[in-house]
Amino acid sequence: MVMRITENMKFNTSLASMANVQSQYNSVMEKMASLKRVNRISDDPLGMIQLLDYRQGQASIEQYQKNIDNSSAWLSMTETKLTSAGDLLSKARELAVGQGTATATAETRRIAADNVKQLKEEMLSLANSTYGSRYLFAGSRMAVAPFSATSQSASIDAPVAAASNSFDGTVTASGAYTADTNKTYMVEIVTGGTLATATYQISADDGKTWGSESNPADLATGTITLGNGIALTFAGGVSDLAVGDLFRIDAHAPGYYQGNGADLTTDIGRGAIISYNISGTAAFGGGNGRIDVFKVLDDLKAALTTNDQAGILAQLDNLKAVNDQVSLAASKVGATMNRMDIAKGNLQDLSMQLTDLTSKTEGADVTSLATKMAMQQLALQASYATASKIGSNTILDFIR
Amino acid sequence: MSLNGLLNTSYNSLQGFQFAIDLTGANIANVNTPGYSRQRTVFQSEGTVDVASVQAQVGVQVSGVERIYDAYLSNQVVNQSQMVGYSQAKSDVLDRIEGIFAENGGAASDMMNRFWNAWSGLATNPQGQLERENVLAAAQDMTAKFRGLDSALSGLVQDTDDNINNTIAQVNDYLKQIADLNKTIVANGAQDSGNSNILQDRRSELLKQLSGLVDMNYVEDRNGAVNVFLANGKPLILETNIYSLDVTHPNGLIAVVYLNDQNDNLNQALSQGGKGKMAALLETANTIVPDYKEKLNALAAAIIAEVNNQHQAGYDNDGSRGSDFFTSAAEARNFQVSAAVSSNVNKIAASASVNGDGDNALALGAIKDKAAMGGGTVTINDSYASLIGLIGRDVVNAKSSLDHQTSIMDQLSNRREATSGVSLDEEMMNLMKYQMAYNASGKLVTTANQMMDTLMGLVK
Repeated sequence: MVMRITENMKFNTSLASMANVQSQYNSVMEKMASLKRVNRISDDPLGMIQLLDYRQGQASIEQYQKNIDNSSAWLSMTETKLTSAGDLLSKARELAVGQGTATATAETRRIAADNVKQLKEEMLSLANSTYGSRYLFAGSRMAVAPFSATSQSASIDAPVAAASNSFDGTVTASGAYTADTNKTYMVEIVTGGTLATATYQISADDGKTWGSESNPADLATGTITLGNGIALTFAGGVSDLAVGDLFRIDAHAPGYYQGNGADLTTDIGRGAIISYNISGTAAFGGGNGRIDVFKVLDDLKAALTTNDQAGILAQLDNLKAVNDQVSLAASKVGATMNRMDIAKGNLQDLSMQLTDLTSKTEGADVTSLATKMAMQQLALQASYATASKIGSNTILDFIR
Repeated sequence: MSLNGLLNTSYNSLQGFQFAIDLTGANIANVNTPGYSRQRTVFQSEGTVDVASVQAQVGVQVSGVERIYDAYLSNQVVNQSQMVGYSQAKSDVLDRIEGIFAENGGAASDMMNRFWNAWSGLATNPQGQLERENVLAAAQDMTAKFRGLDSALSGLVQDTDDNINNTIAQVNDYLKQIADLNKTIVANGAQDSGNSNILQDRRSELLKQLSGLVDMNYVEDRNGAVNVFLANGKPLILETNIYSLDVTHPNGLIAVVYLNDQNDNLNQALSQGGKGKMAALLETANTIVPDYKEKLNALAAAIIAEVNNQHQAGYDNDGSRGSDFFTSAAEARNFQVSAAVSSNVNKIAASASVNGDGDNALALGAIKDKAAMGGGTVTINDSYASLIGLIGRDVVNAKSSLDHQTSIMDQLSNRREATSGVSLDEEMMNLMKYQMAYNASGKLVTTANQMMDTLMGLVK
């Protein structure tokens, strides 16, 4: 049987196909205008997941590059300072060589002593250089300048109670510090209560890792030992110790160095954490069996002042050793900078790969889009042409 | 046969053809009326032929008006409009959800990336106020984005609630109209010759509209009334009685109930078949949006737990132990930076030691690469990405289902049109046909008149 075709069917069919073509045309237009294949999530859900991954990667790379730029600036500043320090030491060596000969007199040695004094002051200002407001050679102890002008004897700072502590009694430190590096000790209360019942734990590395919890009666006498000759005494107070009460004790080894020589780190890639600072001890000595630059300069100055030829010559070897020490630190900086450069190059490659992947996933193929657009245009024109013909072929045209 | 009889026959046929032309006019007038079924005049010959007495009086009479209609097809259309109603409503909702999560500039994923990277930036300058402010700003932007997503989803549920209320009002209105039509159709009688045709068309159209809204079945009883039932067999209309629907909110969810029995939850019956707009709306309010919300909450909770945990392991700029970075919470709507941190950026615990290194900030930034979700299998960002992927797939599925159902509906509508629709060409032909017959009948009257004149002339 022949299907009846009614007016409504003609209009509906024409309308539906027109709407269909128009929506496809619109979708192609949107892709063409944005030059993106994926404009909304539903355009390609799987592709969108990949895109999010690429974008996260790209954002991380940008941050890593910023970190590299920041720490590279720090490193090149460090390098400059270390080179200048090397120059100063060479000058000091020249003076020592010159004044170590028999031709030198007490007068020339006194003038040289003044020179050495100035060299040491310059050296001090180099060693206390800052990048922004941060000391280059302090490690992570930024509160005080890393090097003092005169050699300090071993000391223990008064304990500092954290602002949030409940305990309001006094805490005093006593004893003689025996270690050869500066350290920050931390005492944290694990179980609160009176001195007789409270327990505590000790950290010898400024609070990063902690020893085991003490026995309940250990604090009964009010005095505990932290190690390396430090004793801590708790006394008095209206409020008892509470969980989390924190006490900080800074201990200083003898010498010029006040910093802690800790590594400063940054991430320059996924899981690639790199230390970008040179500790003051590595470059300028102090503890760990290294030779202290400032002590050498002070000793040289003393020998020059006292016209002590043997004393002057004795510092020649030391001067060579500290010069090597500074050079070694500078070469370490150079190596780190190289690593940064390589990492930066790698990140650039990675970034380009990601950009490539991103554009492959979300980018539109303009050639095929243009072709599609032309096709859709044709289809649209055809459907308009068809629609305009619906009314023109009826029997009404043939009856008078 | 008498001349009077001939005149009478002519009169009947004139009347009959005029009726047919009137009906053709009605068809033409309703060519664009949705649900209108074309009507056809049913002619019936009447009278007798008696050759013996030279008598032939055969005329025509209009015995009824036939409504060209296919009940089976009509049933299919009703059924399909349930599928379309469901797909349409679901697709609309998912479109809106897709818009809420749109991955353009300022999306949650960008905010999360910025947040993680701000920590890495802080690590290179742990005491820097600028870097600290940057971490705080990134955290505040990210939490605001999460809260915004949550509130947009809540808004969607609210809108859906309004939509359900409106739909219920519409359903109740349709029920009343159908029951009223039932009443008139039953009063006209089951053996009606055409008086109820228009009413039946209107009722079919109403049933089609109603079926787009709710999952229902209908049966026509022998009196001509339709009884409408829900998918679980509970009634909506029995003859002229209507069972109106209402909306309640038990435990924060949305439930459709009878107006007269507020404890009879009809959600299951309305949504089990995935038919009708109401099924999609109930699914949206009670399942789809809550599911997405739950995933968003899980993300927020994971970020809060991981960041707080690592933050507490570090030391702030004043040498105190790190506190909570985010206010402890399990929902995205309560996701915010803790008051202690937001009022003082020095409370950000960037350092792993009481001296100011940046190692804890590094550890916080590294959470982005940690498999912190899904029982330690995926990272937080990946988990977010799979939520986006899920939304994308849902939208794609809903769209293709809508396309599919709509094209079936178009097909069925065309088939219904082929049977019941008005063709103007056909009506034109009918018009010519009936006009010619009318003209011929008129000629018959003239002829009878002339015959009468001839007869009168004989008498003169």
